[in-house]
Amino acid sequence: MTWRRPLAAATIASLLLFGAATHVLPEVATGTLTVAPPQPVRITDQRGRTHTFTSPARRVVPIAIPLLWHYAFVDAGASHIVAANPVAVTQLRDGIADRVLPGLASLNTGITRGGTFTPNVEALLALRPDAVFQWADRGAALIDVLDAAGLPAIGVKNTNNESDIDTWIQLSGRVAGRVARADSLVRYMQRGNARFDSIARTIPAAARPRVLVLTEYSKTIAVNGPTSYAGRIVERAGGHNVATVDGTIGIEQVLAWDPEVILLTPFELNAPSALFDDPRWRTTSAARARRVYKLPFGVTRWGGYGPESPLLLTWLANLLYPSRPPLALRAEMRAAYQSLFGYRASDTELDRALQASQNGSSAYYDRIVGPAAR
Amino acid sequence: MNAGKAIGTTSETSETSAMRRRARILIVLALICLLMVALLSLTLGRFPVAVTSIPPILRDMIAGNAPADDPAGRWTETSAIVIRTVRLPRVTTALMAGAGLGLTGAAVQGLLRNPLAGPHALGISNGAAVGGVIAILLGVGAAPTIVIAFASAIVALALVFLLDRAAGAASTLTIVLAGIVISAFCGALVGLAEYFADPERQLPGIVYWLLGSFATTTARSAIVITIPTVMAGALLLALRWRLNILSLGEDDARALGTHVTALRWMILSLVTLIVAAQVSVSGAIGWVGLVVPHFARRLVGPDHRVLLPASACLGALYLLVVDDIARTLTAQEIPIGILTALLGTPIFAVILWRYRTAGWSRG
Repeated sequence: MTWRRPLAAATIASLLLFGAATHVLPEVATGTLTVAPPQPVRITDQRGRTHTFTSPARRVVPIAIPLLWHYAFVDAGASHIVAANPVAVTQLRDGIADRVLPGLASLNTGITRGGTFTPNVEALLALRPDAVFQWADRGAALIDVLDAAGLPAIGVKNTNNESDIDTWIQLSGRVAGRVARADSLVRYMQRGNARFDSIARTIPAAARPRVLVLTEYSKTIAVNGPTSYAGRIVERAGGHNVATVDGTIGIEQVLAWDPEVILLTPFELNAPSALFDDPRWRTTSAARARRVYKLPFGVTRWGGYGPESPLLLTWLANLLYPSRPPLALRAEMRAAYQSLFGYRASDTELDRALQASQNGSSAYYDRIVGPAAR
Repeated sequence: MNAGKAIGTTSETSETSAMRRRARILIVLALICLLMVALLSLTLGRFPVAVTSIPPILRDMIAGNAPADDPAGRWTETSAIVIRTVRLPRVTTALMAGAGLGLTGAAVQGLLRNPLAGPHALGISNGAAVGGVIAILLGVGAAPTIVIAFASAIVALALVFLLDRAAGAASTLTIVLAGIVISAFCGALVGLAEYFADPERQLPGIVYWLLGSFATTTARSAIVITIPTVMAGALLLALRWRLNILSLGEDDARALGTHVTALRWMILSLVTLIVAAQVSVSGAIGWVGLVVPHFARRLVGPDHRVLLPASACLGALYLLVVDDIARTLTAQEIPIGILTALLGTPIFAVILWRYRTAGWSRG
């Protein structure tokens, strides 16, 4: 019969995926810890402007939100970050950043006007920063004002390509004087992608579980389409991202897609269990099977490509293929945090990162959480 | 016999009687058309539901049965949920919102004797928007959002009233000016809230809500908008001949024994209830209250006895059709406020062009 071939292929691919993955220990970045550049370093930012650093930056201010955690990953801590975007700092309080990287979640935030990216130039000048990371693609005025004040503005862009994130990390490495560590981190992230890509692409579309990533659903239903970071992670982990568009959709479209697995970002305040009994959602395959999960929040928010995306892929593959032997996610997390930051995460911290309390009533989550949370 | 009815009867000529008969026929036709479009709207959507299964699903709902698979296999539980909890509340809400905006637009234009006036000019919409945005910033649920938006619209009208009192309540002009002031103030508060909102967590929700949408409509939203719209709408319709007197001008109205100030604020309070209900459930939807009454006026004339019901019917019809487009054209939900503005502005431009030779009161 015609269905046998894809099913057999999927089974083989899944076995390959899990068989291979269970024997692959995380290859975390282990770059040099304190390598100061022996001579001035020239850096070209993403707007094409060149900056010269005579020594590693010791006073850094990320206004562009994700640069806060990318810089902290590269610099192995928050000790050289003197202030950050208030939105970024607030978000980090949801995860375990305050434990793994002390000081990151309590940084000075008085460097923007309002909750956006408009810089407070006087406050920035008072901080005497060596580098200010600012968006170069959200209106020229945001970065021009920094240039005009003589502040060292490193322009970054987000064109929805994973290569942008690699570039942010490499720029951070050059600013921090940790080029080798940054390169090692990028290789770790890319290996995470390659590890799953090579196997997941052999799984036929029909055999992949249908997955929907919801930014939120209780106010408006906002989904992540094929070109989003989250959408690509789903495909890479062996799922099929059912959302064909990015943005806001109606509930009827969700019912027409009928996802088998639903992932909620931390932007959605409700726990997955709220969706199981919601009259509009309860007939979806995902709600019926209780396969709705809140995405984890480790040091950073998990949901796309980044320093913790290899861990996210492992988490997701475990939940998309629950009949397969589990991947050693917790061991990978411990190894990653130990290797990157010299931090030994406790079971409680891992459960907090994995949203054990919110995902407690979801199916198969006992594959993920520690004994205390079961 | 009171003054209004006296005017209605003594000034009627055979020509105006014929016009009113024609207007009534048009309104009946519009009602029939509205009913048909509402039924058609139930068949439209992104989830496939067999048209033949809709009547039995509705019968099953009226019988009080919970949504479930049909034992005879005519529909699934999901189909029943789509019709009962998604489309029916949404069609009802769009219908009520459109009727309310059309009705209030005609009432405000008549009351203020200003063709450019509408519910938005009185600060009510922006007042409700302030409440809605604050609710989103506070991260409260849908029900408190409705309550806060509703309350802030009432506060906005109260401020317009106080400002008008402070200015001496001289004329409708002071109401318009007070409305502009409060509207601008509320607009500034909304802007401030947007500025301080978390650009990743809160701002997208605020922007989408401000653009207007029925995407998150539930049965509760339908109830919240239906009750004030029907009750306040019925009272407005009951006052429709008094609007004719007010539209003659304050001096004439007073000469005919009308308590102008009390009547004016009664009408504005009813308008506020309807607009606040609409904004609280679906965000700000512009241009309906401004454009629809002009269109209705061209069809049935300026007599508020027929203009108000005609505006309500046309408003409901217009918003229902626009919402059908918004929810079926693409997988993404297009904010309905964008569509009403895209459609409303050229329509209004054409109406203005046609007013070059005819006064607005003549339709």
